Amino acid sequence: VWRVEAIEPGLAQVTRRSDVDLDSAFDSARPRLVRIAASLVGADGAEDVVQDTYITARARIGQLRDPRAIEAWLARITVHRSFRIRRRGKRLQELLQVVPFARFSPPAGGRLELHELVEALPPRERAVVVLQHGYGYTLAEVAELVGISHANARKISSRTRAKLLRAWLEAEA
Amino acid sequence: MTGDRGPRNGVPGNGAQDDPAPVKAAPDSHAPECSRTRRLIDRVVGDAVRPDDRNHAATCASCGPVLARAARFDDELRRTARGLVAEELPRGILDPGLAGNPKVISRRAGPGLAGIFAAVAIMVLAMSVALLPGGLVKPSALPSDGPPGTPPGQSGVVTSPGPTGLQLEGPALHSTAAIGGSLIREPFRWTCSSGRPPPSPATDGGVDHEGIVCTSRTGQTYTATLITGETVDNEVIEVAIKGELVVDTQTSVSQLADAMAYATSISVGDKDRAPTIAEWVLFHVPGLKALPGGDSIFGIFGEGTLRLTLQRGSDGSYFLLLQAMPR
Repeated sequence: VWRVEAIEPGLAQVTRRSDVDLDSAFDSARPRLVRIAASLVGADGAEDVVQDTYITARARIGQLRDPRAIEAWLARITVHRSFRIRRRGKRLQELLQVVPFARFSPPAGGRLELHELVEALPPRERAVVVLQHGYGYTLAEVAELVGISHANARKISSRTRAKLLRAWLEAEA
Repeated sequence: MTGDRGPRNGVPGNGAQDDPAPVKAAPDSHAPECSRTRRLIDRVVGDAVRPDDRNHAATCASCGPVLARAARFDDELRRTARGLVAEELPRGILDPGLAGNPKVISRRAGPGLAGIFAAVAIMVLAMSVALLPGGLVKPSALPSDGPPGTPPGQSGVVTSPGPTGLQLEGPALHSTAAIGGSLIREPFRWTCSSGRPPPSPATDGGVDHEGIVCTSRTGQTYTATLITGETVDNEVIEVAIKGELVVDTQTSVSQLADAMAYATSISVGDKDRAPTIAEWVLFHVPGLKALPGGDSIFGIFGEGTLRLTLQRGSDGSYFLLLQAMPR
């Protein structure tokens, strides 16, 4: 469930643009954006990403050149924000475990499969892996999508691949 | 850049016959042991498998599967990553004409000169509050108009904010010292300790480290934790609060709402606007439901310079994030 409250009247002016109804476009695109974000950062962080997407879109609506491309524009912001999300809840969850009455229980262990290793990656590494290997983008395209240099994308990609490979082999050995 | 698409093979090519190192078959066929396996993994990961490794692996029950598994890795990674794709990206997402500037929200790298002066002034004030007995600031100076020490929601603390225009006065969020100093007092008496650096420093614009970690007293109907996020210059730009109910009753939700609203009121820098913002939290917390997909609500104050995200997860926990955005 998603609600936005513009608490103060001044905010409405930010989103006003005669040729674009951002709220309606966002509402209809939102399920798709959540699924894109879930692909890139996992279900836990997807809502955070989509909220960031909305805020960003509100702030930057003036930069949208073609109103007909609003869904692609929102998707692009979602990809961009996926790379930058910080799982703030995780640290707090961790802390709640050490105070009384915490309800969190870790899942039962077992042999690690590759999908578990990928899902456990930090958001930016996971986003790069999924964009490159899942969506099939080149590293140059990945770099463009998430707003980093090609060299940085290459570095993240190779470091993540090595990390996954080692963990996967060690799990077997 | 198609060369970047699809990974390299992690297992280099052929090798000459060499040293077949000792191989011990373990009693359990699933757990063979070989002293070379670890080093072989290092070399596979480093893309430096030698011919003698390959020869050895051909006859070793421990090392052989490592090379075989490594050879399958890239296909497995592609298959796994593809399996995580729940939605295709729309066509045209890479169109350079999509928008003027794809770089979107970016936090300020550091405060301006006025911000530095304001931060210094606030630090001095906060230190004097912390060091002097009784402090310089009376409880009534906190963003609460109720009796001293009374949290919002318990006695109409949230009163009319008074028109101050849309811009927030002063910094969006108080300093860590001021927030911690207020939380440890009556009526909530939280316990605070120093924060720590995030797992991966500087992964996001702005937040460099945790300033303080405060947790609620034991024996309440809820547990709550607050963390301040600071820039490299120790300016608080983020306050995260998470709460969990010990028992899910109307009373415990109401008490948690009080605590979250109070934490909000002492975190917001503009003392005239803090009651309004705390009231927003107090009003919305009880209305959030533990739905399968979560339940979220946004609030934006001060012409977008302070944004609040309030969520209830499917597990019933509450999460409130206050973020100071660039002015």
